Amino acid sequence: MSRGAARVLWAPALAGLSLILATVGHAPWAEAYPQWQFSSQTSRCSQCHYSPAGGGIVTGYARDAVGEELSTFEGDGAFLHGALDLPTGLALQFDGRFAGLWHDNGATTGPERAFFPMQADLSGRMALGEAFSITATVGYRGQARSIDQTLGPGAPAPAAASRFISREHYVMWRPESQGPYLRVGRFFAPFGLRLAEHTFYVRRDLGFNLLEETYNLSTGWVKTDWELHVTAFGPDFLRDEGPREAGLAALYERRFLDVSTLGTQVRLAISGERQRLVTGLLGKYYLELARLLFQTELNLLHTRYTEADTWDQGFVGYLGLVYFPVRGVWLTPFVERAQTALRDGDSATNAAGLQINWFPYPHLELVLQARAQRPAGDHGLSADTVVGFLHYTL
Amino acid sequence: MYDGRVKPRAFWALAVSVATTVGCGAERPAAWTYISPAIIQPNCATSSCHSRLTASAGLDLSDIESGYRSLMAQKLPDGSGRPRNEYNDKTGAPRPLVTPGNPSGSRMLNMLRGFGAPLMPPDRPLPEADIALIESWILEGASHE
Repeated sequence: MSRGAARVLWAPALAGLSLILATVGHAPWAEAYPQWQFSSQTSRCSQCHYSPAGGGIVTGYARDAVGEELSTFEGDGAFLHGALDLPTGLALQFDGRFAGLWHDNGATTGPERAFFPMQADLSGRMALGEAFSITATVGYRGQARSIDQTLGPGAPAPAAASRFISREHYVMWRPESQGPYLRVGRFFAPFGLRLAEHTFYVRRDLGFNLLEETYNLSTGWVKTDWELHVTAFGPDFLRDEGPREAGLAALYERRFLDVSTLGTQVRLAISGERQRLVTGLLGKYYLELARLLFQTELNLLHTRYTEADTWDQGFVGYLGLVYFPVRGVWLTPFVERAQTALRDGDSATNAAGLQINWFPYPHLELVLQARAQRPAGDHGLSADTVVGFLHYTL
Repeated sequence: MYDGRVKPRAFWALAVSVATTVGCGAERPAAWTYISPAIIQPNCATSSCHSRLTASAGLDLSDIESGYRSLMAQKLPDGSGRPRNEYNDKTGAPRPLVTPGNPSGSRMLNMLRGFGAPLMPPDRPLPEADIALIESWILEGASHE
């Protein structure tokens, strides 16, 4: 990154930090983070994941919790079901997903049905001394639709190589489980609710769609009742895939009263064709008596289109209500909205759906999601989708 | 085209526009330099679709230049059920995905509406306003501006 670019990034960095610091108040000490880990009294994503902001390879603590407390039926959550003890400092994990899809977008060809391998990833983490570690994930990503249609002479050939990828690879300095950290490499910058499904608008429309992990220099501070993450990011320069954007993302979350979190975030992404500033709020509230978790993320987008010399204000939001009826089961009705331009009310798409997650046994997850998407306008286009997948973790 | 560098004035231009244009009600321009980064790239150039690396169906819609080149030059293979006006009247050959001045004869627009063609994008159809903007652009000559 050039010195000029670095200077440019200081300004939004300071603006973002100002916004974040403005929301930091004095709150009581909090214990639990209201996600499904609530039942095990975890308060931070990094208790169950080696990543300071969650996601990716899980810790031994998480494997024990899944085996003994979180799955419907108990079992051994350890690597390879406990058949092999890994050397101290080494963690391995395999994630495989196989999906079935029914999708009706009103096309004259009728509803689409597909069965496909969704994911086959092998992840590893090696501790390098007390404070440093190296993490990498390599694997295969399947897709529902064929890319093998080709055009006439001169057309670029579809590249099946895009399915083989290392989504994450980074080096991290983190001397303690709580406190400061520094990470360099490829991963998603900590931002938003960090939902697992890339199809949610708060992921796909904000730069966190499938295989859009950026190269980052990320730092932050994680404590029991709050966490701050600041990330300078750049495009995938190795594969030249995804948005060619560089910029800065910051996320601050504070946990209150053992049952809720409130966060604020800002992301500035700049490319040669577009500059986009995202400011957002996210929140979670767990109502223990009813076993309900309310979670939401609301973002305002301000986008300037350089070559067209115009701008848009847009919106991307998500609201979900997670119900935990029995151990290992979540039911989540949700609504979403994405609007390209607030000045044009017909540029929005709304969605609503229901997602069921079942963790019957350690290493196994079954997911079923039904979703209806309704783009604005009277053109009659829509998309109704039912997708189910089996997720197996070793 | 993006040269990999972030220009200092980019941030200040964005900051000024944020500060001065909240709630502006101006119509969106029917221009490719707007349509590409605002509508096409976010919805069509995702990984595993019409991105630079994957270029599904031979289409790279990942930036203004390559997207325009793809739409104006590429032709989908012949297929049954396609509207007749997607073919050249004299030669009978399929027209490019975009035929300037002729929205109904542009395969791209027919795909966005699912008219005699698989609907695109298949996972999330575009809102009517976005499709109408693309139709206006084609009707007005589909220039690179």
